[in-house]
Amino acid sequence: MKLRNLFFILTAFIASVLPTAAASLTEKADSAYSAGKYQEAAEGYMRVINEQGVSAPLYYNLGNAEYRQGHLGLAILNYERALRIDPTFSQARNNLEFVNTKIVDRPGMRGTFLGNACDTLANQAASDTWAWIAFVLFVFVCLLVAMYLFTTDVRRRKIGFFGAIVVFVLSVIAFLLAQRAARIATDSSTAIVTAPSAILSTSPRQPRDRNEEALLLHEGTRLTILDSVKAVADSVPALWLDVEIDNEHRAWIRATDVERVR
Amino acid sequence: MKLFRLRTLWLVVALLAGTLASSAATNFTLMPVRRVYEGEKFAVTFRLDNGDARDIKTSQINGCRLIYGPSISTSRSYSIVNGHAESSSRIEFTYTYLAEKAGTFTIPEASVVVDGKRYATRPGKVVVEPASNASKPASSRPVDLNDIDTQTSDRTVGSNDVFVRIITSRTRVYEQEAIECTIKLYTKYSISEFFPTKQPSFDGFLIEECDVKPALNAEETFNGQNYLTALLKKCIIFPQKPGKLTINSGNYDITVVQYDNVNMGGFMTVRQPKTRKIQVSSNTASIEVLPLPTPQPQGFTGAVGTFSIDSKLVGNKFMTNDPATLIYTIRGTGNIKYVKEPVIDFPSEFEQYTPKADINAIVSGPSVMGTMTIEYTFVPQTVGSFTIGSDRFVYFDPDKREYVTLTTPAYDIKVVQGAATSASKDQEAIAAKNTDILHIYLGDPHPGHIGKPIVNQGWYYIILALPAIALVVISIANRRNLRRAADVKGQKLARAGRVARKRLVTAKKMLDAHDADKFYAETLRALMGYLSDKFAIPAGKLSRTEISTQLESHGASEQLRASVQSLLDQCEMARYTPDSAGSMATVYDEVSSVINSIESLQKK
Repeated sequence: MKLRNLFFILTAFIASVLPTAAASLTEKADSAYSAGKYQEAAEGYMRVINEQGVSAPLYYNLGNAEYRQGHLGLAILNYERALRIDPTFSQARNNLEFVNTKIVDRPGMRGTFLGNACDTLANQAASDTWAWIAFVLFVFVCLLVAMYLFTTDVRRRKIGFFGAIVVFVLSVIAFLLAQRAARIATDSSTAIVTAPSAILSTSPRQPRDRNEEALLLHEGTRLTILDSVKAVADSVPALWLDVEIDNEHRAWIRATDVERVR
Repeated sequence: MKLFRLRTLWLVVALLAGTLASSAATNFTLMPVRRVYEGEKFAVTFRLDNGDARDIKTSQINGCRLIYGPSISTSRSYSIVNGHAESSSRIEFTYTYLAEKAGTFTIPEASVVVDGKRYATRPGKVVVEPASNASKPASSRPVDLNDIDTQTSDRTVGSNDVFVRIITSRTRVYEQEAIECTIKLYTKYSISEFFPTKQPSFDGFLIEECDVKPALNAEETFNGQNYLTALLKKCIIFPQKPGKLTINSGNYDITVVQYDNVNMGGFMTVRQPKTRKIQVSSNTASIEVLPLPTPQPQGFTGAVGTFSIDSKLVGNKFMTNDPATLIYTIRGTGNIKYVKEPVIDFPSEFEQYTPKADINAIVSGPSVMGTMTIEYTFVPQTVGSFTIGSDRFVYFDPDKREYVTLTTPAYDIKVVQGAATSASKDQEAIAAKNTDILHIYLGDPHPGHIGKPIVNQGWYYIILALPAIALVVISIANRRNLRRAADVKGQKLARAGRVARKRLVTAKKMLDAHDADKFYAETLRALMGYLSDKFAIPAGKLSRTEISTQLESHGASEQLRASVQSLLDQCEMARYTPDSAGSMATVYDEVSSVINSIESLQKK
């Protein structure tokens, strides 16, 4: 209890010193955004991210500032980052979906129907929320098992027995969703095209002729990185990434044309 | 409303007509001076087109004597062609000089002031040839426009006697900037036939032609010599791509008239016209086209020149289902004919019709001037306050070399309920326009470090295991209760046995006391009482058959019913035949077993 009090006093003290700087920085960036100075706003949000850490609303605001400057790729990147932190952030999802309708490329089907459905379900809550739901359900399972074991009344025993099975299945589902959501949130293979346009190659090097040009992508398209290769062309080392755009398209892209979501 | 709109339209038309009628440009020039010989009188004429001035400021020619001047002559014309009115006026100021000596003299510049603006001519030249040249035979003098004697058929028609020029007003322009291009025929001879075999080609240009009627009517000095000129073509051209563009030369078949001096005998000589066919090709003109500067501002659609815009909302009351009009006018000089119609930002609650554009442009000076009027008709569909967004019109001003942005005002309009068109209207779902991103999050964003998800951390699995471990520990600690709870059948029997034991408690005492008579009586009573209570049979009705039916209706097996009957028999028999005391314990067990069986029946 005493320790807790001390902690409160400490946080209050820090709050009186540090967050004023934080609040003024974000407030400055917010007012720059409202005044239409989007570049200044974007720089402000980036400074907050560098100095004080990240949060979903910060990435979301940065994404908005980038969109207003016409940087669709960076806008999508930042919305994706915001949703990594908080998949239930509906404004970020709304804006991401909106900006995705503005980009040039319209990719085909990605993943499987079932996998996408699972992802959608997993994204209904943060991974930690799912984890706690799984935990609470598991506690219920134990209570129901105890009810089955220790009561003599047949009806109660029946409730305990079948209830435990049903709640256990739900708990396992919640646990799997927690893991899936965690995988989505920590996945390092997703990247966004940030160059205005990029010609993808069939092999990990600069296309030598037209035949080696695989496809043309534009700013904002989401990619899944499968592999990376360091290629040396004219004694300049360049990193090339094997990327999957959708289920049917796969090619190599220069690493400088994309940015990983994390 | 409609009447009002019609009236404004007329007003616009009338205004337009007014501007077009007075559009002819003012021009002040020095007319070419014909060839002068020493001792001759000659006239120097300054011509003012489309202007009104009486005071001319000029000085005398040094070296010639002014005899008279200025004499002023005025002419005026007014014509309406196809409803298109055009007026022109001309004032000529003529000075008459005497050439006193041979030489080249400068005609000083002259100036007039028209409507507060000063117009000046360029200084000209007059060549006074020595008198001796006048007496030379005509054939040895150079060809001259005003001296038919020199136009003899034995001369070849040189390239500086008859030629065609392509004249462009500028040679270095921006893309889409207007250039005046004229094609002129220059001749010292009179011409009887003129036939273009190949017209000059304007590749890479958009052309705005002027209506000209070619006629040999104007005298002009070119390279110090006088020519009669004809305007073959006048057009305004707009280069469409940057780089060097060329206007290719045209070819012309021209028949010129020369004169033979035919000696009719004695001193009579007669001039006989003789035609000569020549082929002339014009020069080529090349124009350097500069690309428009980048970056081009947002909203630029290719308008180059100088423009002004105006938008007007017709009326000030708006009702649902009542059409209203926004009139947008672009006025100016430049490529007005190729200006794209602006897209006005109407609220999506308004039904819109295809805008009606009306371009009225004429060539004026070195460019095209005119008006583009676009009528946007819209019908408000719902009641409310709406804003018609302001429009940005961006054009490039080649003179200032910069982009100019003009904006029209935004209109806030209030739509009231008009006459309903249909009896009832269906309710509308709220439709999101979805044309922009949402606003930024304005609260404290709480920046911080984002840790690993808890499912990827060990302690989560530890706390997940805790309730399971607790369950196992509690189960082990209470394993006796557990075993008992798990034995469902045993429990049931135990419960049934309890009932039987309660009933048979007295019988048990008798059994222990070996009192056979009382034991059987008590056992019978207990069994009958149990059955009576169990199946709710009143004691008076308790008969063997009744018991059997009740047992059957409760699902008892044939064997159970038989054993109940045999027990009843046995107990009654034993009361009267006391020799069977040895089987008392068996009877007691059987009775409690039967009661247990019936108890478990009930549970089913």
